[in-house]
Amino acid sequence: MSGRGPGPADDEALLAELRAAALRYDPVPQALTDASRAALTWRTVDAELAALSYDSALDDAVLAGVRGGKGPRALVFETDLVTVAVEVHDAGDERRLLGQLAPPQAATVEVRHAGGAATVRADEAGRFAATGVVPGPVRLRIGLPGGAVLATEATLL
Amino acid sequence: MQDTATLVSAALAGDQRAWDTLVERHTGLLWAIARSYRLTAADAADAVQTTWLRCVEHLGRLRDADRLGPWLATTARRECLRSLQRAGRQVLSDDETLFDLPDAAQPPPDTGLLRRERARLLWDAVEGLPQRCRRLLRVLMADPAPAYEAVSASLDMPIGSIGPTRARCLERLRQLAEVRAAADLGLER
Repeated sequence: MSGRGPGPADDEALLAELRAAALRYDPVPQALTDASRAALTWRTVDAELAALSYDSALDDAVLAGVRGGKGPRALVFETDLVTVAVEVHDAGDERRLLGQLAPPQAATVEVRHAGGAATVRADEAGRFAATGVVPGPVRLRIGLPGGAVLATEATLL
Repeated sequence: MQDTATLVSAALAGDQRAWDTLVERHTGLLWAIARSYRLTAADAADAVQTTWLRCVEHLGRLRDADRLGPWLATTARRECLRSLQRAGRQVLSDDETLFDLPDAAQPPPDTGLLRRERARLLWDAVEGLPQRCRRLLRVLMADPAPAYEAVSASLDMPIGSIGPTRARCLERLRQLAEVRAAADLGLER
C-alpha cells in the first residue's frame, strides 16, 4: 500500500462493513416492518382529515407539573369547523377514551384501533366514550348530522 | 425495478404491494434516524410507525416522487424530537469538539481479526464517537444506503457538508477502532 491516506474506495468499503454491522446488531424489527406495511389501510378515504393540533404529552407546562402533573393524556384534533378533544385513560392493558365534540352535536363515532373497530354515539352535548381500545394506532371517524364525515389523524396511543 | 413515482401512484390507488415496496426501501433509513437520536427500540418503532401513518395521508400531496425520501426523513426527525421531548430528554446541541480524540497509537499490523470480532469492534467504536459523527454514520449505515438528500433532511445538515464530514468521521472511526483493537491485544498479554 502507498503511504497516502484512505481514499473514497476505502471509505465505501468501511461503510459497507458498518452497514453489515448495523444489520447484525440493530436491524429493523420485523414487527415494525409489518406495522409500517399495515399503515396503508389507515389512509383516510371519503372523509375530511382532522389534524392533531394538541398533544398534552408535548405540553411543557404539563410536563413541568404546572397544570396538575400527570393526568390522562389529552389530544385535540381539528378541522376548520369541528374540534374533537379526547382524553385517554388507562384501563389495565387497554385504554378508555372520553371525547368531546365542539361545537356540541350528536354524531356517530367509529373508533378504529389495533384490536378492531367499534361505533359509539356522541350525545347532543357532543360527548362520547369508547372502551376496550387496544394500544397502538387509533383513529376516530365521525359522522356529523349534516352528512359530513371527518377522520382524526391516526395517532399512536 | 419500479420507480418511486409509479409506486406512489399505485399505493394511492390502494395497491398494497406497491406500498410494501416503498416501506422496504425507506424503513431502514427511518429506523437508523431514530436510533441515531438514541431513541429506545420501543420509542424508535413508534416514531417510524407514526412517520408511515403521516406518509399515507401526505402521499397525495407529494409534488414529485423524488421528494418522498427527504419528506420521510424530515418527518421521522420531527417525530424523534417529539419522542425525546415526551420522554423528558433534552436534545443536546451538536458536539463542537467533533474531532477531539487523543492521538491514535501506532496501528498494529493487520492481525486478521475474525469478521464478527471486527464487526463488533466497529459497531462499538461508532458508539464511542462524538455525537455529530455518531449520528451521521448511524444514518449512513442504513440499508439500503440513503441518498444524500434524505441524509441532509435526517440530520438537518447541509448536503454539501455530508461528503467531507463523512470522510473525517470515518477517519476518526478508523483511529478509534485501532486504539481499541490495540488495547484489546494489550489486555490479552
